[in-house]
Amino acid sequence: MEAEAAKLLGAGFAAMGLGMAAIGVGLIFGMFLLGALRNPAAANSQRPNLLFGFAVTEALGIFAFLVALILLFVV
Amino acid sequence: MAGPLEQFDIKPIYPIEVAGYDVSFTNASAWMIAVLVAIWVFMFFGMRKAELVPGRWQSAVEGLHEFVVGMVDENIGPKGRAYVPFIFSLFIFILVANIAGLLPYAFTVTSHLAVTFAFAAFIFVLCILIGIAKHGLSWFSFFLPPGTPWYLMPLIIPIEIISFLSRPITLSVRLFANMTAGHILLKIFAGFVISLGLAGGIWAAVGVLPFAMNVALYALELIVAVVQAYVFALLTTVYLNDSINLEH
Amino acid sequence: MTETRKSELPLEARLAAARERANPQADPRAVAGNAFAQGTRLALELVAGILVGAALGYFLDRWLGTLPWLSILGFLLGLVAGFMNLMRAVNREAAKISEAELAALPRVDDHDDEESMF
Repeated sequence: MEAEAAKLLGAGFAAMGLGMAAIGVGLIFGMFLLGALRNPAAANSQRPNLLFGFAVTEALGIFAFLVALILLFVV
Repeated sequence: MAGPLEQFDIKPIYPIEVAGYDVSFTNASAWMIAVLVAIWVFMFFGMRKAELVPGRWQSAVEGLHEFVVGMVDENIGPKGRAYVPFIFSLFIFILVANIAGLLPYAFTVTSHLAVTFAFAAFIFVLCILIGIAKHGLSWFSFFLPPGTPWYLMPLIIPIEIISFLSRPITLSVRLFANMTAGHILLKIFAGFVISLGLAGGIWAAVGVLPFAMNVALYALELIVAVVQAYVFALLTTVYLNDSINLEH
Repeated sequence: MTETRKSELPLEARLAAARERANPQADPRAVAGNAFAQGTRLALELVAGILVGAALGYFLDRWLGTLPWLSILGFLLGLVAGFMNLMRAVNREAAKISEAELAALPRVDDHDDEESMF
C-alpha cells in the first residue's frame, strides 16, 4: 500500500472516534432527560454535572478529530 | 462552482512588499477597514447630537455601552472602569466583524486563526503586564493557590502554569472554530441548492429543502455571531479580573 | 379592546404576567439543548490544557534531549490542568445558574417529609 493511501485510511479510522464520542454524548443527554422528566424540579441543579460529563466526552471526540487532522496534514 | 473553503482565501488587492515580506493590502484588510468604518459611522452619527433624552440611534449606542459597563462592573468591580474602553472596542469590533461576515460575498475576518490568536495573544500579554504592574513580583503567587501543602507545590505550580498558558488557545480557537464551522456549513448547503437547481425538473423542487435549512442556519449563525463576541469579551474581563484583583 | 382591559389590571399582576412570559419555567429539554451549546465550549478547555501540556513537554524534551519522558509528564500534567480549567468553567456556569435559575424553581414544601418516611 502506498504511504499516502495508508495515511488517508488512518485518518478515516481516527474519525470513527468522533462517532463513538457521539454515542457517549447521546447516552449522557438521554440519561439526563430520563432523570429530568421524572423529576423536573431537580433538573436545573444537575446542569453543572451534565455540562461536565458532556465536555469530557466531547473532548475525547475532539482528540480523535485532532488525530485525523494530524494524519492528514502533519505526518 | 466555488468550493466551501474558497470563502476563506486571502486575495491581495494591492500588492505591497516591505523588506522581502509580503504585506499586501488584501481582502481581509479591506474588510477590517470596512468594519472599522461601520463602527465609526454607528458611534459617531449616533452620538453627534447627544441629547438628554436619547433617540433611537443614540439609545442603541448607549445601550451597547451600558451592556459592556455592566459586564465589567460585574466581573472586575470598580477598579475595572479604566478597562471599559478596551473591552468595548474589542467587543464591538468582533461583533461587527462577525455580523459583517454573514453578508453575501463578505469575508469573515474572525474566521482566521491568525486574527483571533493575535487578539488572544495581546490579551494574554496585557494580563501579565497589568498583573506585574499592579502587584509587582507578588503577582506570581497567582500560580500558587493559597493553602497548598509544600509537598504538592512541584505538582501544582506546573499545572497552574499550563492552565494559564492554555487561556489564549481556548480564547482564540473558540471564536475561530465557531465562525469557520458555521460558514462552511452555510456554503455547503448553499452548494446543495445550486446543484439541485441546475439538475432541473423534480430535483429543483427538492432544492427547497436545503434552502429552508440554509435560512434556519443563517438565523443560528446570527446568534452564534453575537454570542461568540459576548463570550470573547466576557472571558477577557474574567482574565483581566485575575490580574487586577489578585485574590487568594 | 384588549388594551383597556389589560391596563385595568393592577400593576403587580401585569408585572407578574410579564415576568412569567420573560422567565418561563425551566423545561428539561431546553436545559439539555442549552447545555449542548455550552458544553462544546467547555470541551475546548480540556483539549487546550492537554495540548499545551504536551507541547510544552515536547519542546522541553527537544531542548534537553530526553525525548519521551518530559512529553509524557507534560501530557499528564496537561490532563490535570485541563480538568482543572474545566471544573473552573463549569463552576462559573453553575454560579450563574444558582443565582438566576434556582430562584425561579418551583418551591416544594417539605413539612410532610417525616410522614412520607414511614
